[in-house]
Amino acid sequence: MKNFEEMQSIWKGQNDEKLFAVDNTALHAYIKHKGRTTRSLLELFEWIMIALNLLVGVVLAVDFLRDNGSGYRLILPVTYLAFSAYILLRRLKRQAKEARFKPTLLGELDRAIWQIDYLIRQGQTMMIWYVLPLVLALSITMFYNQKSLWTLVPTLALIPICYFGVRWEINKWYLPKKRDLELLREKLIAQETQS
Amino acid sequence: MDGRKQKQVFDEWLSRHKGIVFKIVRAYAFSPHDQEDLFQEISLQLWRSIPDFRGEAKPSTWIYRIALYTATLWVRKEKRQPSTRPLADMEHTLTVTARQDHDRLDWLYEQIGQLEPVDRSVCLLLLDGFSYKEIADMLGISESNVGVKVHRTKQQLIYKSKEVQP
Repeated sequence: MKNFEEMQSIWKGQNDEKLFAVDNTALHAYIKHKGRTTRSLLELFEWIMIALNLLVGVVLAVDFLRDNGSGYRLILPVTYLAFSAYILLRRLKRQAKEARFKPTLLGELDRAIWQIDYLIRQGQTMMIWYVLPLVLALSITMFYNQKSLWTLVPTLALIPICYFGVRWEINKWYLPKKRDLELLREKLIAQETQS
Repeated sequence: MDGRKQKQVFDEWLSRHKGIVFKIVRAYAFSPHDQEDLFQEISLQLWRSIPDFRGEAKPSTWIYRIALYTATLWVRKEKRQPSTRPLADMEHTLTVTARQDHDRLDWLYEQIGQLEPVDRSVCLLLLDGFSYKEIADMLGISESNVGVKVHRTKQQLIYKSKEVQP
């Protein structure tokens, strides 16, 4: 092969040739199986959080209304319902931001990096907007219910468990993946500044 | 989009444009195990991308982009954490068909396989006759950057071909 055009003609010659045969039935079975088990982590997490908070909030609110309970018992259902609404709002905002990435290879990479950043931010800030208010609301409810201080211990233990759990998850999964994507991104645009 | 419509689009894409997927599979994965694995991964990503397809690009361009992106990430993932699943345990979706012996085509694939994953993308698009602008649009980089990568890739391939054909 003397030049690139010759290589191109050899390359184009393969277009009529079947390189592989696909088993469509097996392929559909595979997609059906994987499609169910590996749904996007982010989407799944958000839906679980929305549904769980909504469910707990509604159950506690119904319980409050049935018993005609005191005002402090409204703190928890309102907190849970507010979380559910807030997560839904964040989800809508995230989707709007994601739609802004260009449909290119670089755009896909930027989107993947942005998604990991979003997960990291979410994990880090969840302590402030989710775990701490929840623990506070639980503590107030327990205090008014005149429960022993010892019953607060498992609730308070949630704070360090969540904190270290999130840190472990970020360091183990998200940061290495993000670094890898960033390296790839750098390679893709490597000559951009030189050219 | 309902599942039936998604399946219909997927089947149509695969039946019309499977050649694109096959070429990318062969350029990025070399053993039957890896080719099967990459083909499944590309198919899965194509399936998932269908609801996002607005018809603004040609399906072939869309498929090329998704397949190249998936293959590039797959190569990095395999380097870091190679799949240990034996071929016998994998779902068999792909079979290598008996093909004519093409020494020169095999040589070309071998050389493409030695390029960096990003340069491999540029090379495949170039061999398939995409213009600099189309390659730039698909990869999301500037035309001048594409020019640099194309020049480097061409030089490398021509140099290698001279080595075997003095």
